[in-house]
Amino acid sequence: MLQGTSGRARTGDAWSSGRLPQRNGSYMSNGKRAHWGSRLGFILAASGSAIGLGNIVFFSASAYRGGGGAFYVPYLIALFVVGLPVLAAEFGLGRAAGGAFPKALGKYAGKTGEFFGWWGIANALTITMYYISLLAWVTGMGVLSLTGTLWEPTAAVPAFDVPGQTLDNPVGSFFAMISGDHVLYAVLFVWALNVLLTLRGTQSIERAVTWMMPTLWLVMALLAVGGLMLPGGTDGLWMLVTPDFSALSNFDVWKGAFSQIFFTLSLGFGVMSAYSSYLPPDSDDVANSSAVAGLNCLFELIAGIAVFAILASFALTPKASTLAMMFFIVPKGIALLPFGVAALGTLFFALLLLAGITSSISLIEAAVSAIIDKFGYRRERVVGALALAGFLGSCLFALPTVIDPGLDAAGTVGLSLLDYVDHYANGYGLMLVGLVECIIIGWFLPVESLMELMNRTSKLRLGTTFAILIRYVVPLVLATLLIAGAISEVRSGVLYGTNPSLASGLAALLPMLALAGWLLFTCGLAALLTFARGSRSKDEVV
Amino acid sequence: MSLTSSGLRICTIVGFSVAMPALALADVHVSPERPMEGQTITLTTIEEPESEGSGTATYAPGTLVSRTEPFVDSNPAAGLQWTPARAGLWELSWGETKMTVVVGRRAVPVSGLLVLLVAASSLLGLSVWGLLRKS
Repeated sequence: MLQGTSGRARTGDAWSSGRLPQRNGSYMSNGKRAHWGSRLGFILAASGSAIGLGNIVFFSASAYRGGGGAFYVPYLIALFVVGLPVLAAEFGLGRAAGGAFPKALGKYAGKTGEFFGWWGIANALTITMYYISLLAWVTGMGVLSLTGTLWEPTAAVPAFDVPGQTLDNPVGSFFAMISGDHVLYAVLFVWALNVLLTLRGTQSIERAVTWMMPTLWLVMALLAVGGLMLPGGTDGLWMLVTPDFSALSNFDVWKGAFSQIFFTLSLGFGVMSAYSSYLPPDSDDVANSSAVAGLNCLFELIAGIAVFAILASFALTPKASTLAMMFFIVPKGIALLPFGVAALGTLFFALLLLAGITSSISLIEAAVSAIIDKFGYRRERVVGALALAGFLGSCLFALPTVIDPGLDAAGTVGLSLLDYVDHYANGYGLMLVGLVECIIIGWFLPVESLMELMNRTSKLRLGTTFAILIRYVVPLVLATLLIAGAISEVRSGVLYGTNPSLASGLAALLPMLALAGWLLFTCGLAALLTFARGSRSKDEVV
Repeated sequence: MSLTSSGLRICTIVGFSVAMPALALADVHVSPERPMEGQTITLTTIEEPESEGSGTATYAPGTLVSRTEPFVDSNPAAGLQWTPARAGLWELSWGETKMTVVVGRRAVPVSGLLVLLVAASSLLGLSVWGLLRKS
């Protein structure tokens, strides 16, 4: 049976009026679980988690690749069929279990459920490590915006000190930056920011998102309006939204839209369960999931307009890669602006950093919250230990060692590892966790019990459609995406990242090392944490 | 969060940048600079193109709806000429020269406007409904 909502009126009233005991970390001084200061704070934090680098650049690339406006048809269907139900279920799950992901899944499916919960957290930690490396590069590009030759498109930058080899900007500046030792200081800087923002749990996160999220929205809205005012900017808008319906007969468009929705809403990370576990018992999960999903996708639409307007104005072709879009294509467009290039360029990278930080703190919080739930350690110790391990991992993904000076592949060890590990952690890990999560909620919990709990506090009552979606439709969709990905992997005949022109040395070994490292780290850590003896009993914290 | 999905795959663009550091953009003059659908575009190059007045035009390059059509110069004396049938992003390729052109629309596309309105209103509605709902 699920936890009841006893004490609902007391906690809910206090929460609404802001008259709650002082919070500090995951738990309060009285041993009860910490809470968000306000509903708006929770929505800003959860939407901040969902809105990340991919919203700003990857969505635009996916929409362009999928036939412009025609992409919105499967995208909106995916939002209502997969995104909203799974998000609402994750909110409900966190609240029902009164704890983070492993605890929540473990409560209803024993050690197997807990293992997948920890595996999701291990994946989230892996992603945090390389995500912070990416943010370190964003920081580096921001610094170059102000101090370097980044905005001089014709400046030939020496690439990797190879005699006679130069690269045009912004590609040249990017590779010069990621192959320099200074990038590790940027990694340290971004980790320090994350520690600062997660040290006090919901308190510090809420305080940060209260100004970060409105700033993010404001800057993005300004960029969109500015982009539309450029000559030819509105052509970009129409390129983004005008449908080519022939795309709808292509399976890849549907696959792209469903994957996009799953990733964009931070599903399968354990973040949303962790965040909702800090909600009071009378929260409306349906309304909360609507607000978070709506805000995330609306931001994506506005970002798409901004990016497309700039690209169309300068006749640049979008690329289906987050990295290429944010470091090469959009900066190339900014460099062609008639005025304020350095200022707007710096603003663009600051925007990326802001969007990235609101996501990375949520990934860290998911892990911190889960560890405190099980072991009862002090938050400061958990954040410190995670930051140290995470910093070392991020350094690995930012390693400036050049292994491919001809740039047949990704250039440095760090970027190559990031590319390969992202392929597995993001492409398979999250969906597999999502699939298991839906099976546990749909069949073990079961979903009717969760609906009963959610319906007690939701104005819009969930019916059998929700149960059918969670129990049958979402698992079927996720299984199809996973199987389709695996089939295309097998058909390619080689391990992802294998490059014939890099047939020897470390570069040739990296794809295999990345796969083995990812599997060992995530499975090993999940097993270790699942079978380790915890200090808190399952029901202690509700 | 949607960090990267389906890999970062930067190789293509980086390889392109290294192998072809300078596209012949500076050597090509496009007239009119911002062409419209159905309007004939004249491309004049400072150097003689290596192919004899023919090339390919690829609509929406790099997408799942991309299509390529040949274009033949009907009036070599005036420069290479091409008439885009539809608005959008086109990649023109002739000889060793490649360039991207955005072809504008003569009128606001009804289908595009409809998609924009449906997407924006449903997402805005979802957000506002969720935000204003109180338990």
